[in-house]
Amino acid sequence: MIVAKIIEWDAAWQAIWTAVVSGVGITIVFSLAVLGATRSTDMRRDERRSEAALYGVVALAGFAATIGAVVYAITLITTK
Amino acid sequence: MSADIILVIVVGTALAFDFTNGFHDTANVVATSISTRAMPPRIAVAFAAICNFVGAFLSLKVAATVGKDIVDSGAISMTIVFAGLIGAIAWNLATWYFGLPSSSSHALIGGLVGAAFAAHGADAILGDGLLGKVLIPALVAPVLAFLVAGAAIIAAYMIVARQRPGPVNRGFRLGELLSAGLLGLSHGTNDAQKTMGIITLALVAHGNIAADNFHVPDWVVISSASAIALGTYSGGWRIIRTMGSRIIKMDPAQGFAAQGAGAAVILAASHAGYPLSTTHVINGAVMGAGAAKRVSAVRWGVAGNIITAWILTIPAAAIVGGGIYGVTRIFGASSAVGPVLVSMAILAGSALLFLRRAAGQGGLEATA
Repeated sequence: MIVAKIIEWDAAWQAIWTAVVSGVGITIVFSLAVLGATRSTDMRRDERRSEAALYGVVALAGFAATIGAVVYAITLITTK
Repeated sequence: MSADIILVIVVGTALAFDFTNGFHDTANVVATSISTRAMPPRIAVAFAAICNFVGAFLSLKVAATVGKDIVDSGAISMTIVFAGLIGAIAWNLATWYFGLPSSSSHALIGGLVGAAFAAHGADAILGDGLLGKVLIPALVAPVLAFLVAGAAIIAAYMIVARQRPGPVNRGFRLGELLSAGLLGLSHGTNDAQKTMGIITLALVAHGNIAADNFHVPDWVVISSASAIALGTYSGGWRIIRTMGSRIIKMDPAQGFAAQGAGAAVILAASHAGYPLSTTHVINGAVMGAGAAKRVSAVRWGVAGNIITAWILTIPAAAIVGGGIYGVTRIFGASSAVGPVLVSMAILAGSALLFLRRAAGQGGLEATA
């Protein structure tokens, strides 16, 4: 009961869900970038150009999202 | 005059603590990058030092928490701050000696609480702040990092399943440059601020800053950032070895997931003003990334030693901080003699520890 009063629940929940979404999210988008880059290389080697291009787009989008997440994290801290 | 001398000693001791904080916590930032061969050791440590320096300038919210919300800043004297710092440094050196990644932040808070308790009793401790902003987050954060890193690595393995391991590992090693950078920034943001908070607390006690106008001067920010960066660059190779290979053997994907989860938890908590232990968080993340792949991959005996050190940190630093305050009081509450003698003793003790470990450290550095 005392603990419930001491904790600033809004701030605590915000910290928890932000950590979960950003921690798991950044790994997912970077994994997609790795998948895209790996598959794109494989497809290019097999001369399947359209699929290589598609996976290339996945790789670029994943990498861009990762960079975006890092920049957003830094911005979040500096604006507080 | 005596008060000025004590202030100089306190600021010097705080910066020395900040140096040991960087030195002790280098492993938090670089151990995974080194063990997964994402970066050569020296480059990784230099990179971490730069990120820590930059990170220290990003926010001052945690500094305010340390300075205002844990002990009654109106009841704090410079001798109390000094004794708290010595308690923290003593614990940091002891855990470094045994290669255990314990929390510099909790050592600092424990030392301060112990010294304040010895001086004024329980009234000087802000129980709500200590419980709500330190102890409960200390329990939640490593578990959260464990779960986030575990979920992250499961997702990563699902996405890159059935791909050739060579390119996948190279990709995640590249990603570790980003995640290590983010972790370094978050470490600098969270940890350098604790020293800033302590120095500002001493300035309040000295009368340079009014207690109701708590703010961190620029010279405090710059000197704290420099001290933690120098400490980080000096590197604590013993702890790097424990974290990098003794808890689990990591692959680059696990390294990325652990660093990303650790940085996310630290940054989210710093944003809310919680002075988290970066050590607890990144260790929790490393264990989570390992356990999600295979529970038996984590060396639970080593993890158990680390958890024991975590539990002991605040009480042990508090006992040393309280004891040091008692020693300095023998020479008078406002006398500089006590702090001068204790500083000389801790310097001699530190030199002895470093000398005893010098040969061993060289060997570890070569194998890191």
